Amino acid sequence: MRDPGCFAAIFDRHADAILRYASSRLGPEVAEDVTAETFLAAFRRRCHYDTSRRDTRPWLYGIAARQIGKHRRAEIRRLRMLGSIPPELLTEDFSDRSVDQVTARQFRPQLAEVLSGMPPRDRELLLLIAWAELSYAEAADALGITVSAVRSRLNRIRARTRKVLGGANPANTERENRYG
Amino acid sequence: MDEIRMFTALRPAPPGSADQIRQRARARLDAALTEVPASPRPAYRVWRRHRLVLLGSGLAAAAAGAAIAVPAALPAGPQGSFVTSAWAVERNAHGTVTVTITKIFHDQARLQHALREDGVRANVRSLRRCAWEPRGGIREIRRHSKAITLRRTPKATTIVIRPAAIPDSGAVFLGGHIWPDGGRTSRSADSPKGTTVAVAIQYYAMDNNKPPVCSPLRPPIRVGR
Repeated sequence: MRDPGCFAAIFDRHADAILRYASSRLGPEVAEDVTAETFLAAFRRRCHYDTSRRDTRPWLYGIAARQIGKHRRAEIRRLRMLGSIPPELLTEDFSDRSVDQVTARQFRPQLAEVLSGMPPRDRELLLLIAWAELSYAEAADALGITVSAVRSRLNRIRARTRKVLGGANPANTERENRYG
Repeated sequence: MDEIRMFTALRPAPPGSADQIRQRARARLDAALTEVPASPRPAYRVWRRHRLVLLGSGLAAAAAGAAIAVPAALPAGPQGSFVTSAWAVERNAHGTVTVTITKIFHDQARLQHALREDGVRANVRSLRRCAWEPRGGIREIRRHSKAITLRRTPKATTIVIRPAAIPDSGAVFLGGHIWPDGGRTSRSADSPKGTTVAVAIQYYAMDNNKPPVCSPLRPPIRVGR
């Protein structure tokens, strides 16, 4: 970890995921800066890295989250734009016509509104789980909070989302939890 | 369905140019890894966000006073050149300005004055007590990288400034210091551990002509002579 050569290997292993996450949140133009800054910051802080950790991924996502936080206004603009795009102009591959996809497409403006309107720390947690696909424990590690706090915040987000969508989940009401 | 999974489905598609973006980010990291000391001391904030190059034993010897290749203390030369025992400023035919350094950044104010006399908007500082932060961050360094470049030779370091590439309202920055422990904290210095001094140079172009901000070093780097 403290050897630059080793650190380059960490970049090779995780850069794609960090870049994809940053690009999802801020767009490809800013994602390059965020990715480079994330790994530079990680390299500078490598002396403080707890080597007892089995995975560097949550640590890197935590640093990336702080870098993304510096572009909060750009992210809000992007989320509002995301919600205002008419469904017919969307270019995503919707060949996977799962309930998730169809529902998300249908309620895109409302979901974007929920995302842009929630407190930054809640949005950070939600997107680490929903977009970066971290587990509850990994997200807790990345943000420096407990798993209980993760569950509590996610429940708050679920309640807020249901309220914006009209008080009930429009697809079905079965609660799934594949992350924890 | 869980509401969280609805947000998963909202995730935008990955960028089409992801490979190129990743390669550019990797290049920036590689550059930083060759420029940053392997065992950074927390107080040495000088390494943040700067083009910082550690020079090897050749220049280190010159910095220690062993070999000074440039004639001493000539004021303004006949062809737009300005030469001292530590550095020389020379205007080239194709519009660039070359700064040749042998004794690192002795008399920074004079070097700054010489550059400005030659039409180059420049800020020159010592890195002894401060790292100097550009106002605007790392992106402007990347954007204006053609404005100032560094070349090494065994006897000296040359910094080539292209005034035409400096932003209209911008300037270039030059900083330097002598590293007294022979690169003990530097991975990239060529010299064996503890046998001589090493030299660091910081350089970049920035969007504005405001003086860069001092980021104090604690403890200050001691000059080894």
